[in-house]
Amino acid sequence: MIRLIQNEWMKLFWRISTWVMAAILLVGVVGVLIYAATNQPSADELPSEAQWKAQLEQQIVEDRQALEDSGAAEGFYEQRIAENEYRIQNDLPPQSATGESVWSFMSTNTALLDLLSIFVIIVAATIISSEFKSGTIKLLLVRPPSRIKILMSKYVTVILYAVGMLALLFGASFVLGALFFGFGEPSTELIYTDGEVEQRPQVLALAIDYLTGSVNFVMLATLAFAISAIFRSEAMAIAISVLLYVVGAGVTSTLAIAYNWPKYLLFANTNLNQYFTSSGPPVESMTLGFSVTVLIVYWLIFMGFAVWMFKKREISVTG
Amino acid sequence: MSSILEVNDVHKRIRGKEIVQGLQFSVEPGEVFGFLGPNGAGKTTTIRMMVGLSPITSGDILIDGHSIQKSYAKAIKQVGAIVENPEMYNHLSAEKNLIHFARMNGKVSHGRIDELLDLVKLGHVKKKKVRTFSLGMKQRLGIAQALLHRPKLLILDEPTNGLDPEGIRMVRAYLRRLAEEEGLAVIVSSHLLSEMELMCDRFAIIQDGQLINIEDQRFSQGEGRLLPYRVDVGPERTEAAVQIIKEAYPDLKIEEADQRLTVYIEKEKVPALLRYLMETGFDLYEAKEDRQTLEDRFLQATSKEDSS
Repeated sequence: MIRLIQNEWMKLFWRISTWVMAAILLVGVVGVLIYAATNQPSADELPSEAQWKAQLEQQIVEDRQALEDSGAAEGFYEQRIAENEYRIQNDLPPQSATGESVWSFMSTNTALLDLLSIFVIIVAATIISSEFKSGTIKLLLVRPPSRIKILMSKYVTVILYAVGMLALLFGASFVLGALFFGFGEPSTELIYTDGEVEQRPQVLALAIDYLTGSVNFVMLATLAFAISAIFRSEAMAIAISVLLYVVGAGVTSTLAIAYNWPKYLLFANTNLNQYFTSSGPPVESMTLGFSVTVLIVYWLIFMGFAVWMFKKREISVTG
Repeated sequence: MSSILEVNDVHKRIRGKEIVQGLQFSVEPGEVFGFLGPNGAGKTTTIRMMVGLSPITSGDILIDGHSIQKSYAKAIKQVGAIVENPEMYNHLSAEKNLIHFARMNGKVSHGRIDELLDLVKLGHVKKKKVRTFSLGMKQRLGIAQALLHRPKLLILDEPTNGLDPEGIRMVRAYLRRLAEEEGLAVIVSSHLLSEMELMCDRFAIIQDGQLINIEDQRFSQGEGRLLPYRVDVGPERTEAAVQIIKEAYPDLKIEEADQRLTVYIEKEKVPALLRYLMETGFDLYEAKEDRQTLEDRFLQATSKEDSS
């Protein structure tokens, strides 16, 4: 099994696209860095405590006005008012008053998790189908290791790749952030649920972001992997997986407004971050335990399908 | 010696159509076995069943005594194969391709990999990516890949496909050497009949998924067998020569066509016959064994099937 994983790793490693993906991810981090560095106010431009408190109070007044005037986007304004009041009461300066630090930079870079997810999906979708496309699947299967072992070695490789890319994103963000912005004072993130405001240290919030983000793309990679085993066509596997990734969450949350059943859909549950932030789950009755259970069931279904299809199918390339 | 490959009453049905209908044959260690048949006869399907890429509908295939269906790992261990084209990982070097396949059979021996690269004359390009290789080089790398784990049975689908004459000669010589010196059993499928004739000891000819004939080249060249000899004594004297031969050899079968005669005679008796013709005053322009080519026999065998 170790040797099979070594093989898959070797094949992935020597593919140019693997490195292109890593390079694009790094370019993304550098892009965020340039943006953050050029927009960073210098130390003497940062507002004093009195100044930022005044700014927030001003904002609260405006928000109240907006609420009275229109009544639209009620939740948004109520949340912002509550959060701003909490900051003033507890002397917690907002991001704009503390300046950029490695923590805020890493937090911004969680947006790149989307990009990373798409890369992991591409690798998962092609790791089986490319063998069919090139015809090498025949030489691969005419060997003592069972088909299941070969399939599993490919899955493990996808996960290793995902972990590697995550480490790259995390590491590059940390190193560049520390170099350019220093460690500074980690600011505090506020969580607003049911009219209550809670605070959470930014480092903890960051860890939750990355962890839940990982769960998200591991599930998507597993889906793409299963699709790859079933369709055996590179283009098909990538197209379906990326499409699901892009529209899945949107469609699910739209459906969730009107119905209860979408809570069993994959995309209602992949974003575990929803249980840790103000936004909350798409369907109210959902809990973290519920989502984890649903994800495990989906994972088993995907892997079961992949194994079943890969094991039973006739291996033909030319037809 | 026990057979290395036994194909027992193998059937293959795909979507109600019976593509292979009860194939039955075996291959012994040390022989090169040809697998002939027109396109769509079921050659590749049979080969794919032998290596476990395609499930067998009924019957069984034993490799070194192990069923490919029931004890796949043990059976496939004895097999080196190229099925259809020798597809390799284009983005890896020749050496890395071999490392890849060696890992699948257990521990990697770099000595063995270098040995095989030298053998198929790819040692000088082992660090180059396979993408840059010609079809012939890929074919040779395919053979190296199939031999890595020292299998007892080598299965090659169209091994000389895309090779230049020099390459074909090399592969042929090498396969014969492997069979003779190392006792390897080799199964070769090809549509190049003349090529197969030079390479193989025995052939199975299949058509429409059925075995129509197994020919043994070694026996057909054996002693005491009547072989056709074409004798040319000049067109105008052919008839006279037939008379003269009949006087001395009343039992011989003689055919006369296109003003040339063909005698069916044992090889050892040919010199005496020719001496006799010259002594009786005939000019001898040519005397030659009229060997039926494999192509003739192949066409004969496949067309017999059509008329029945």
